[in-house]
Amino acid sequence: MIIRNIEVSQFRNYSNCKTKLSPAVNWIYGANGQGKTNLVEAVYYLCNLESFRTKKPALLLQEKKSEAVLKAQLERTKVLHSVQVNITKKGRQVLLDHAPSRRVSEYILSFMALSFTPEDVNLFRSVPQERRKFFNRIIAFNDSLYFKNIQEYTKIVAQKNSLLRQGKTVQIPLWNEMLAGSAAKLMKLRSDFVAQINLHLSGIFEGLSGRSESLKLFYKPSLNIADFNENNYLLQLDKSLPRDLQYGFAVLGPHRDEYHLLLDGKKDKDYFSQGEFRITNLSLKMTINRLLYERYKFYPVLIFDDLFSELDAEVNKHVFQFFLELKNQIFITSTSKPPHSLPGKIFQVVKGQLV
Amino acid sequence: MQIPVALERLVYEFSRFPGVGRKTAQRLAFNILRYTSEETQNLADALVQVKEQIRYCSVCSGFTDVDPCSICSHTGRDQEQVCVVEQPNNIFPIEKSGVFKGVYHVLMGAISPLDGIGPEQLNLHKLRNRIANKNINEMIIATNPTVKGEATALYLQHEFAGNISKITRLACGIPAGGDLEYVDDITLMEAFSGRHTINT
Repeated sequence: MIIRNIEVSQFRNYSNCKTKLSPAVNWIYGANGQGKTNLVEAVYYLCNLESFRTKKPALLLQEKKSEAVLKAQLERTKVLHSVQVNITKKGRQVLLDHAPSRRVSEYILSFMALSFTPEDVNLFRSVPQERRKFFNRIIAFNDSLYFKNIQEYTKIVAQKNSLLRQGKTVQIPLWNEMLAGSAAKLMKLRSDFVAQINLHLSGIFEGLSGRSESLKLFYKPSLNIADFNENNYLLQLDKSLPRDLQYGFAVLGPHRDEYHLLLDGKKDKDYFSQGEFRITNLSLKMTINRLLYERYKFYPVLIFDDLFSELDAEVNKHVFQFFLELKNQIFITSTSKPPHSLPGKIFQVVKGQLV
Repeated sequence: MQIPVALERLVYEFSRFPGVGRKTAQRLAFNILRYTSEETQNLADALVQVKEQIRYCSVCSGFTDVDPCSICSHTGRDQEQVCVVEQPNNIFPIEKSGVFKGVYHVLMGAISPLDGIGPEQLNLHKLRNRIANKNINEMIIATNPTVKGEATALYLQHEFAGNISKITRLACGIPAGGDLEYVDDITLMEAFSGRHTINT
């Protein structure tokens, strides 16, 4: 996917900014607080219909303005689409090819961007829910049924939790049975996806860092995996009833699944340095990128916010080399001009203006 | 100009209908203002009569004006086959199609703890009695293919497994005359998993 041009109006510190973009690298540099991240945030919003920094649309509006407007021409599988997103305090409206687009999930799955920002580095340090959300979205891209399975599963868990709150234990086995069937589908898809990732993860990690340790994504389901056998899940769920009642909600099931990164078997939270969190996360994103183009010939827009600031010179060199081989459209923010020549365009940002 | 009180009252009553907003409610109300007094009386009579005459059948709980309803008392229908549905209005599309010659049972809802509906809130007592006292050899579960409907189907399956020789569930899949191109993923998945052999 390629963003041919973009227009950002009344968004963060941009009054109006209109530019053509390079289908290769777009290097955006400038001093602190000038609006580099705001610009790539707009790019990200156009692709994913949300910000990577905030959930509150009000924060995206320019001061004293009631509406921000993002416009772009997006090219996907050789077809040019025009997109407009109007953001107000209350929410957003999406116009795809001048018609309101209601199916947000479909939109996101067609125009997805992958980001790598200072906040993303915390993915494996933050609450498990963030990791589930992240992987849910990627797996949904791989398998459109997954999205509907999640919706169905969420409804079942809500019903079970409601029973637990009301203390009606007689009906629990019925909902456990519903849950077991739905859980089996989800767990199979998650497990298959993680296996796919692990085919490439170590290799890409080595390419980016020059290090030869094995990097693995580890899927730790809440239910014992047991060959995805529904009857086994039902036994486990029924057994957990005392704990369900104690906590007042369903304690077992895919809504409590975990994902970890393991570097030579060592778990992220316990062993990783700041730099390792960064480079392993970058490796994971690049692996996802590779899966997307190997399976779907889809090249998501890649956004790297402040990527080079915390990596050492040796790693930087590897990363640069790696970037040169990517076919994606890339956005990079930095405080300085690129140290090596790159195919693409260079933009300088000063006070919400491109110069 | 302010809307006169009597008109406003009618608009309000219409806007309580499902799927009717204020705009539509106003349009309906204005339309009634164009009625002759005879037409208006007919509408009012119809409203009063529907409440007076339509009740739930004491056997199947479907809508009826005679008790038991014309389906339950029909001698030509197969009394040994019971089709279980969630709501009384679910009976009409099945009847219209004419494919089913048995009798019905309305549950008056589907299991949903979130809405405070468990098996004890459903019309199961009468169903148990029917099964105990009559010779029923097949229960066709026609609850909706939603989480609530599926949970209800599962409940019925467990509850009556020992009492009825044959319990069946309506098939899910591609609509007749439909084009594969327009079928959604879940329906396709159901259609694939529910496929049947034809070369026997």
